[in-house]
Amino acid sequence: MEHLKTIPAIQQALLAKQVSSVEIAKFYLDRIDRFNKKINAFTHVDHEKTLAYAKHADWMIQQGHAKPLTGIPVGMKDLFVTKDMPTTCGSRMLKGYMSPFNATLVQRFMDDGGVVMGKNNMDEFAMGSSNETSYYGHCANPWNTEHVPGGSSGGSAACVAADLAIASIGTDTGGSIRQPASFCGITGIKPTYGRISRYGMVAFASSLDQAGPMARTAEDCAIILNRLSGFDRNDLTTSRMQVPDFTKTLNDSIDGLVVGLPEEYFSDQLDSACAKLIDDAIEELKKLGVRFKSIHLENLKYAVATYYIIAPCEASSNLSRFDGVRYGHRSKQADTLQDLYINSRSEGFGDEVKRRILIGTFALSSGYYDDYYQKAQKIRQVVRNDYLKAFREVDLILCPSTPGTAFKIGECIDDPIAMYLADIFTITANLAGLPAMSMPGGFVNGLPFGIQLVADRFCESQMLQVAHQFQKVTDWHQRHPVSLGDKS
Amino acid sequence: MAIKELDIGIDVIHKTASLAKLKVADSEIGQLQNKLKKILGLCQIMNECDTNSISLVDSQVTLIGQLREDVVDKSNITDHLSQHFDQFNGARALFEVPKVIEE
Repeated sequence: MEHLKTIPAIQQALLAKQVSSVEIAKFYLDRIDRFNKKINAFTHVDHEKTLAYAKHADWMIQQGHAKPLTGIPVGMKDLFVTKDMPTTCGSRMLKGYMSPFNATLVQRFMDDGGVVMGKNNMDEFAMGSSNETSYYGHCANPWNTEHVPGGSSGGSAACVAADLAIASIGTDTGGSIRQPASFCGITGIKPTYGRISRYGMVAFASSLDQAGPMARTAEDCAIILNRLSGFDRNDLTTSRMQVPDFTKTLNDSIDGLVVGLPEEYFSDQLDSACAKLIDDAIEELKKLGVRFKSIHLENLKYAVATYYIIAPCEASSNLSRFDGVRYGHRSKQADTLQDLYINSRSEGFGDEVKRRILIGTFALSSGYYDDYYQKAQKIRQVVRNDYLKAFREVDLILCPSTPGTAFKIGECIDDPIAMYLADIFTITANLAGLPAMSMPGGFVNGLPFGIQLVADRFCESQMLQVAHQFQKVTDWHQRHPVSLGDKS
Repeated sequence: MAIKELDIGIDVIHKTASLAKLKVADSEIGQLQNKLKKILGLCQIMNECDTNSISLVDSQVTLIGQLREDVVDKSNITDHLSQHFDQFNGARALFEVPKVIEE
């Protein structure tokens, strides 16, 4: 089973009847039993349902109905609602919550015969960059359990890095797929806004949120993206554009492709050892014929401030639905409706979520709306314009995913500004609605570091192509952590 | 208009918490004031960005957007909801909440 680490390898073995879906599922459940307590990547695992889904996958194969994700065991970030498993969003507010329906992407995955093993740990309501704000305990980085896995999709990244699943599905509002992918040494893609349905994904900031695959390789991400993308009548913001086959172009030549290097991203904020890894990656890509060009994304300096106004504003609105009435935590200390709202919300939300709701409420309140929210929306357009200009000159943009490698657990938790700055290189793609991905680019002191690629809207294919060919000539994505005492 | 250096006073904290339907204990106010001040202080950099020529017509939704056909659809999820909510009155299809009008 050890060689079955990618989706094509598993598919081939399943179709050749060398292994069954049930055997694969048991292998991963066993690993979860042995290692999850060390990293807390899954907050809910359902052995019985996993085996039932795997049996169904075997039946599909037997009937000749196998699809690209049949029998593939994954983890789902715990903000995609699932009919058969609880959905908590890492919050006390939704402890034990059972949804009456599956999120569109969960349903698409299951229609393909995919095996959902459980729900991945995450920062509460996806608000955090370290997975430390989860009500269900922090998740640890499999490469060094004293360090964070990143966030908010920390459990999703850690479970793939620790080989507790072949892949996982995360979400990215300001870098929540790419930053943990970078910290855990895996590949993660935030597609174009509108590529994948958000129906059934508990909303944090609706104009920024986007779901995406996290896996070892760019090829695995492409296979999953193929199956999850496309119009959904339940999500008006999904695109009706034809979804290309992202796997078809992976091996097309990248000779002559022009990649931009934004000067503003290679500043003092970037760790020098990480900068060296970027230089090495550039040299590898040059050997494949890629040409590099210096560009400017002048308004990067406004990105963090802009994001930390827009996202909390949208969050304050989205999270107003958690009032103790329809679903979620209901306070027992309430005699009036006002008390019920206030006490349920105050007891149900953690500190970081409350802080962001307060910031958003403040920025939207009378007297401050123009100065904060409207100004931030205008700067968002300025950031978009920067990218429009850049993509007239280059095909893709390459930059660091993060300013450095994973920080220690507890290092930034009391300093929100330090935590927010961990997202500085990822936020602009969300503000502009662009696709972006992180791919493993090496190690510094035993911790992984990711390289980010950003493409123009709906141009994920080019990005995946470069990442795939980079992974054919490097082996960073094939490395496995040893800190878990894993001998199998 | 520009973002001014703000003194986040106790009154601002109370007013915002009230709007957000959150309770802030007196013992938490000092720390919260400091953190909010830091975060909003970070946002002052936005003043430096010239946005005079920028209009707000664009949005993620309009970049994608096509409205779906406006047709009446049958939707009956009452049974589903009742399974997942303890205080659901099935007979009257109502969510039970605490009494609103006090005597």
